[in-house]
Amino acid sequence: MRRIGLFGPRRIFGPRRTRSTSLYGFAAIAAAAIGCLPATADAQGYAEVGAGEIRAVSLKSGQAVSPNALETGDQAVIENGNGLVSFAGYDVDLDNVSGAMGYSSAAAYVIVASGAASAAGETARAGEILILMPRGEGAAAQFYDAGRYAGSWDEASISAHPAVYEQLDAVAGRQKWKIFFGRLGTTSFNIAAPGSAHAETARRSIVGDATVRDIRFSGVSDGVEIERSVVRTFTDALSSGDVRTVAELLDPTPYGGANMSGQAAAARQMVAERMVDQEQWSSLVAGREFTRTADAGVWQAATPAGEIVIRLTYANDFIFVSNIKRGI
Amino acid sequence: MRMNGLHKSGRNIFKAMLLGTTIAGGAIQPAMAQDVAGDMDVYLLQFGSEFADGTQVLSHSQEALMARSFYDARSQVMLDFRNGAVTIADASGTNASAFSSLTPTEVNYGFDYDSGTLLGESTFFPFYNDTIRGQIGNGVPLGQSGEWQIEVPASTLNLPIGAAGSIPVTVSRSYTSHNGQDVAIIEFDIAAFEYDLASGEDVIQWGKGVAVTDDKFGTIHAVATHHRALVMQPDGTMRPMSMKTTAYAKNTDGTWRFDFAGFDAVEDAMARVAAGTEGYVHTIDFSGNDVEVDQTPFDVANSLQLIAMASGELSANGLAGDIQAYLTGGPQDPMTAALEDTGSWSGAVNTFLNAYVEQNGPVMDANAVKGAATYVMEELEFRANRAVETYTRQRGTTKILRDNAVSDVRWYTKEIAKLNVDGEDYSHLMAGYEEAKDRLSTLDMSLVQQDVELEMAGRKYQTALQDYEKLADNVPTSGSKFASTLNKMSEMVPESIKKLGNGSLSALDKYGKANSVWTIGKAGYNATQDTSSGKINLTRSYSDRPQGDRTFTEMMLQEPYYAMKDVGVDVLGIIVNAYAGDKKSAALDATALLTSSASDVFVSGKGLSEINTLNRELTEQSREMENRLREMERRSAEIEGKRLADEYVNDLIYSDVDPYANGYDLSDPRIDHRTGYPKEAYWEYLRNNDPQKLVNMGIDPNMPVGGWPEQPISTEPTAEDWNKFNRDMADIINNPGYPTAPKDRMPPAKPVDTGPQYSEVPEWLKDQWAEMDERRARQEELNRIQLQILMDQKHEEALRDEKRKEQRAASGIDSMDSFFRNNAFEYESMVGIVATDLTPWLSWLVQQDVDRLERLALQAGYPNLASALADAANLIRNAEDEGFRRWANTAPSCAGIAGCGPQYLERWAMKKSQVALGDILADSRDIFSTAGLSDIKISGFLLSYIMRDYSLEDGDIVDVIITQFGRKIFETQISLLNAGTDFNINLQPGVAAIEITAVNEGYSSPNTAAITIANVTEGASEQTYSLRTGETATLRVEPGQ
Repeated sequence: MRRIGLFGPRRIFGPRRTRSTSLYGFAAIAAAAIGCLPATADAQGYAEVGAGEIRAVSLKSGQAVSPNALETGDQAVIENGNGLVSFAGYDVDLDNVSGAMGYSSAAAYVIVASGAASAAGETARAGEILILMPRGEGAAAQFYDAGRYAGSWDEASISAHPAVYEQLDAVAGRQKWKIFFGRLGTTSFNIAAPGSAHAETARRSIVGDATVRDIRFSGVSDGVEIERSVVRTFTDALSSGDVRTVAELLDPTPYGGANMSGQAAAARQMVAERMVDQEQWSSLVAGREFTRTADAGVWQAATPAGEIVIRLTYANDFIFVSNIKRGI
Repeated sequence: MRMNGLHKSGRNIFKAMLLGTTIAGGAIQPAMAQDVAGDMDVYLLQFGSEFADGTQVLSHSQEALMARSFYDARSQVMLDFRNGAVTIADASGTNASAFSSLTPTEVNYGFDYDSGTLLGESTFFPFYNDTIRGQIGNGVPLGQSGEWQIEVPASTLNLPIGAAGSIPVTVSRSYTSHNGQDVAIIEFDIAAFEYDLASGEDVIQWGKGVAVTDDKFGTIHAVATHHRALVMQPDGTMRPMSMKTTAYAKNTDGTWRFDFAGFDAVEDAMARVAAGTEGYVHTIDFSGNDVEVDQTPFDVANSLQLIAMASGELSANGLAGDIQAYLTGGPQDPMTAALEDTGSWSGAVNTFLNAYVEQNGPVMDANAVKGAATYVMEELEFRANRAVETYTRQRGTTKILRDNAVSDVRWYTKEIAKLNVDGEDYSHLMAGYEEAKDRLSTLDMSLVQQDVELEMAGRKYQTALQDYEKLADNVPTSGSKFASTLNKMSEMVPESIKKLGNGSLSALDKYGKANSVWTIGKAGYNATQDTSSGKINLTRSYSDRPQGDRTFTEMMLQEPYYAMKDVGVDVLGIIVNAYAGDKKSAALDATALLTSSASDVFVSGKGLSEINTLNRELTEQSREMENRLREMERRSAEIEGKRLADEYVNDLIYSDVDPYANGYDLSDPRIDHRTGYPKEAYWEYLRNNDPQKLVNMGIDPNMPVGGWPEQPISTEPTAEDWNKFNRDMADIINNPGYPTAPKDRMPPAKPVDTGPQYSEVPEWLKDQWAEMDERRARQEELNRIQLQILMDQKHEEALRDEKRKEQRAASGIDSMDSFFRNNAFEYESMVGIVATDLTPWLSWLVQQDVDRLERLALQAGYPNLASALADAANLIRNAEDEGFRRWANTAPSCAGIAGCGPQYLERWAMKKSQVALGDILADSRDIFSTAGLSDIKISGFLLSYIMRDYSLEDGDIVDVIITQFGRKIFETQISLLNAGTDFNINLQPGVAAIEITAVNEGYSSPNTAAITIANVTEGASEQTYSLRTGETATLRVEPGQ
């Protein structure tokens, strides 16, 4: 008998559950993570996006969207997608795929209701999900609980994407018998909200921002290169006065540690504003190459105003900026 | 390094929490006051706080007794802080100290709803009028749920901040109920705002808070606030700050008073406050401890949460009262006002410290504290000697008075006998005779009492001296953790001096002094510091506690929880005084901490294990006191019994004479008591002048004086006589108000008394005395049963605590618990310097698997094996506690999404290791002192000690065995005598154990003895034990120390 959980390789998601454990699966919590779905879908239908000519629409907004521009936690429904698509730092080969794509704090994923999606040597077929890990750590294909996932769709989503829903329902029907005969067991792990909805919400507030996510899912796996990318993005944002990017790269620890809820994000934004206003950054750091020092996480560059030192810190699975000191 | 703002960490930080809740009495509008008139609530509040300024983290936890009452249109609030702990953690490590408080009340004020006035001064009114009053009217009316926003002009905070504008604060109030109780939930959310500090730094700050109270804001169920700030320096350095304050009502067993299980609204609100509070806020690129850290953001946070909560409760006048009372210490507590200087130890401390400060300048260090402690010790010795001298003089005076009374009795007897006539002179002389006789009796009793009091006083002072000797030895000197903590406190001073001149904060000075009210627990004296003179005054009162007016020993025996809570002094006073710049007061407080009671120092310095030792010591002391009291009763009863016996004998002698039948009283000295007939001269007189009296006496008037027939006299008591005697004796024993002898029916005792003969017990009374011993034995048994019941209760409490934890875990309210805890909580029960010396255990360790012990110690959470062994008493106690064992050995649940994480498994391993260590140690009891004895160290290798029966010499026999390195080096059996038996044994280097086994219990159970050891360098040189037959007491001795 094939005793396998619906999702989750052990190395990532912890011990596999048996059937006696909770039946809460991916779909149920994914719905919670999605939040309120739109009352109606975009009447214009799917938008043409990307070189692979896939068409995707946000479940949350009902608008056409590029999967890479999805808000973390949102999902983009695709229908009969074909071709090579760059997504989450991977080249994902879609073969007539209907399903959905999205980001969680832990991974990006492609839910396959029909067709096949491949990346990094892994292929997910109907009833499977292609999980794409950050920092170029690779991909995995696992089953997902199609019944629960389909059950999380509201009427508006169903009416907006009837074909996809129908395929999901068909997959669910097949899985139902496999579960009945013990061919499949269920797991409580939810790739869209690992741990819990609460934990996922908190974690998204730290690593779910676009700036951080782009770096995490850029496919770069080398730590120094990731640091370099953070430093470059940060200094570019300072130079251009991009307060939002500066804020998203600031170490979250002083604002809430593992949770940026409440006023924490606003406070970080205010700090970023002050930081941007404190100097004429464009004259100090624009186009300037920072080098990594012998001290871990410390990057520096010589400027007419003296040394500028950027101190990085590791927090919540990412490298953030502690501070930038100048005139040293 | 300066932590100026952390002075708020004392009580001031709680002002916002106390708000209307605080004193709901004050918080309620007049109309609502009518609803609650007559309400009263007394409960315990657990306060906690955590301040992180980017360089260090100060955590504090403390218990307080809250009392609130409404009557007519007034409310009264009292707040009495109790013990707790404070920790200061920085890059150099963690300095920690537990502390105790016996301050009668820190806050005590009333609020008159009719007039809207408060009792007391109002230094806080400007802030209240300018800022709070302007905000409180913006919310929805009381009784309605809703959310509103207030804009607080930063300028009204009266703080040195700039460019802040208005600070938006969202406040909400919701009324709901849980488990049938109506509650109000107030939340505030301070939006992120910016301002500048005087130092030129930029600050971004924000905060959240929630308070859960009853629907009239009268009782605090739980309060939690959390503020954060990021301080940006011009060069880009960023310093994070965090302030967390909590409070919750709790039961005496530590459980939450309000059961929040399943109360989703509260848990959600708490989760919002607690979000993102994991761990401390660490420094970000902020090197060095020499940089002055501006603590203003903490002040800002305090003021804003105060305003927010006030708005939430719409608590107008009452709030001001709360704050005002808080900052000023409030109107003086009547109890405090009545305190009287008895010129005792604290006066000595004050004298010493005044001199010290004058001599050395305003320097507070451990040496000053130690010097004061030593000074107090000397003072104690002086007072002990003076007390003994006083009692001796009193006794001498009483003796003289008694001699006079004896002389008077003799004189009156003689004169009456001379008189031989009836009439006025006779009546006058008889009255004088009766008065002198009563006086004699009273003085006899006084002598007995004074004897016992003298002995007890000597013992009390001796114990105190021993305590202070320990104290002087144990006071940490410079370089120790405690001294380091004190020094850190002293470093906080200069910045606070500036604050003193700054508006409302100037009240801190007063507050700090008022805060210095402290109590000497052990001796039963309280003390307050005069806020104007700085001098310490003494008094005595326990009446501010619900436990009533009891001695400390009684408290200790009956409710050790409260007793321990109440012993000592408030270290917060030290902090506040130190911050307030009053080093002398801080030193006074620090000294008070150390001198109020040696037991406090144990609690502070050595942790829970010492509390247990202290419990035992105090129990033993109490037992000894009881024994002495019993001895006093016994001796009093002996005197009375002897007199009764005399009277009975007289009665029996004249059993054939009815002294009242003829109207004559045999107390008449003219009557010969041996015969019951008139003495010769009187008989002659009556025969010639009043023959009818002779007839009334049953005497034939014609009979010659002295009579002619032999009188039949029986000296043997009949069975009926014995029954009567026994009934009367039972009456005496059962009625404490003796003498209760039926003397109105009895002939007097001998006209001339030779005074009490304490040691003489008439042969024929021995059986009765033996019966009294049996009664005492039965009483002892009752005491033992009571103690067992008490222990069982404690055990049940422990089980309940375990159950509570399980319930908490099951209810999902753990997240709330974790927010309410901080680093200081760990130090309420365990604090001190890490032990590293294994030398005392070497003789035992050579027989053990040291590697395994070390591994277990580390797994059990101790920094090293020496620390674990130093805490051995606790480990053994836990290991023997079935509840603890069951809890420790129960594997964590691996169900649910989270599964068995490493943290759970690690904690499980820790608990199991504690039990395993406890088991090993329990199997090696001979390395510990037991049965109330405590470890000692002696200076040389000659063990010289005396064993004596300090109570009744009743034939106690003990076996004494001295072992070293597992070998017997001495063995004997002795009968315990009052005089004592001395021993001199040569020891080898290494730990020795004196094992004393009771062979019997004598005829006065149990087997009790005192053992006095010479050359003791650490520990009590005189110790006592009480053993049942077959039980063994072990005294651990370390020679060559």
